[in-house]
Amino acid sequence: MSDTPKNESRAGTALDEGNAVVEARPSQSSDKAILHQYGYAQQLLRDMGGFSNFAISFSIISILTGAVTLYGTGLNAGGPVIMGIGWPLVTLFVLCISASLGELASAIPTSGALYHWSALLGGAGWGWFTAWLNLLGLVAAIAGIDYGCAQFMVPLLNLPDAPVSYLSVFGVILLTHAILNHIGIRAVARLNDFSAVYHMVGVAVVVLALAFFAPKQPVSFLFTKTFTTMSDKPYWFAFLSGLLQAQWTYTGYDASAHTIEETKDARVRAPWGIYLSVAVSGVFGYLMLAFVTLAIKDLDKTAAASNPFIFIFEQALGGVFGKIVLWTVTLAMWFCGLSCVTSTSRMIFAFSRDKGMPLSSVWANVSRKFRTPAAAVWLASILAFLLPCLIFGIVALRPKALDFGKLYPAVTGISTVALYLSYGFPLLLKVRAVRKGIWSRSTDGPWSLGNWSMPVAYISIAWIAFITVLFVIPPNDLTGYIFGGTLAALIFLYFAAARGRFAGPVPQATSEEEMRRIEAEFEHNIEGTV
Amino acid sequence: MQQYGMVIGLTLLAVVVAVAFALAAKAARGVEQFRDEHHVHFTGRKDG
Repeated sequence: MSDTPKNESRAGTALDEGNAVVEARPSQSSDKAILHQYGYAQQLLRDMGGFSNFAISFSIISILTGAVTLYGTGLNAGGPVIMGIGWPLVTLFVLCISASLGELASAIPTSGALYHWSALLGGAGWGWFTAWLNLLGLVAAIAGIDYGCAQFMVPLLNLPDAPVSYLSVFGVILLTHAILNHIGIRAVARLNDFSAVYHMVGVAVVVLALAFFAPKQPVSFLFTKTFTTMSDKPYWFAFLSGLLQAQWTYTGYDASAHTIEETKDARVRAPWGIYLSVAVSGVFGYLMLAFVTLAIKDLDKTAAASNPFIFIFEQALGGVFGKIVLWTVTLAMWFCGLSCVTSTSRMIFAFSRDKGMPLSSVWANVSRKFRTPAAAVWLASILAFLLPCLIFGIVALRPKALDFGKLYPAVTGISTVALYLSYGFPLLLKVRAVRKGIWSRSTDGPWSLGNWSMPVAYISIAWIAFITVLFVIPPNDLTGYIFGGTLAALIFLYFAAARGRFAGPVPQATSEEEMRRIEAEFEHNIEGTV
Repeated sequence: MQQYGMVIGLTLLAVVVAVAFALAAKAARGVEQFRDEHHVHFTGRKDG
């Protein structure tokens, strides 16, 4: 890219137009040595094993969160068929995307992940846009998940149904996430491990309870029962719109890549974390959705309920079990939000380390006591808190024209589109690099699909392009307007403030000695310094 | 849909399972191959 200042070389001994990857290809096998090859010191605590890396992505995908919050959206759009056919259809393409991203994570194992891959393969401009889209998607995801958690928690705690209650509970949830993420990756990793088991056991309990005690529809109900409340659209279009339920659920698995600098044997374990989090979520998600849908007694009444998922439980198993499920899901959402803050903070840290954000030097700070990107953790939490506040503010200004109930679900759409575009850019640039001969087999990391790599990448890119269009056209036009406006603002910001100034990945040190000096500051663990 | 739903659904499920295992197997072979070619154990050290 021409906008890279000549006096500042990019991390990984960068060359123009993506040759960086070839040059930066690690020749040594240890995690720290590989990070050094990209010009970064080991500042974060590398303590996560393979299961923890898998668990963080699995917790963010959080089948209990995604399925429950958007079950009604899917059911109203496409009926039972959206669960029986829509979920596996989306799973098929997301498996391809996760495998393609896994390959990139294995080849370039840095916390910046998507942003860093785009910057190395396409230059600073591509990296900048990927970073901001990824950040937008992640912050919207935290807001969507934790505000959703607050919406469930307020009635459970018998608090008044008022914006101040929701915002207060939302703030407390975010505060717990920020504190836990501040004090250490070990604590968060243990909670994520527990969360992964919790999700699997939670789904097993739901499935077994419904299998033994609930009345069941025939299996054909899942595959043949078409239903939609979108009477002005043909069924096939309504079905496609309903795919948002599955596609929103399958977001955030880039967390395994964002925590790659904290994972041992990162080049193998992080790609498996990305891929397996999707595959395992696919299996458990399908089992849950199938059994819940087969327990529907009255489809019209269920679709009209305020939360069809909970309604099915109350109808099939009684109010007490419905309440137990509600608490189970609320806790799952809390775990999901916790992991999402971890992932977002690593993204902010990595982007700031390369001077990509305003006040970068602040957000790139790593706590010497806890070895976590503490400032980035708080920034992620504050930004997530501000999003619903902003929406409340906009609605308060124009109460007749706008409705919070309609505006807020657009957040899930924005998060999905922004995240998937940020997944798509590095994949597109990798394909371009392969076609130009910049990326060859020898550039691949150990986790590679070999000669399947390109076909799988093409399928992934095509699906991302398809859903990007699908989720911004009517009936998701509100998402389209907000996302379009945000994108226009980003383009303006890039040309006004970032072009020519943002250099892309910048090495923290140029010699091993300097690198060791930076690392020594953290390894000595200066007490009392945060 | 009423007529072909079962066939489409079950075929799709079979395809998803097959693709999931095939991609995982391909990646696992890639890791093995890399280890053989580079004599690397993924525990942060190199053979000989």
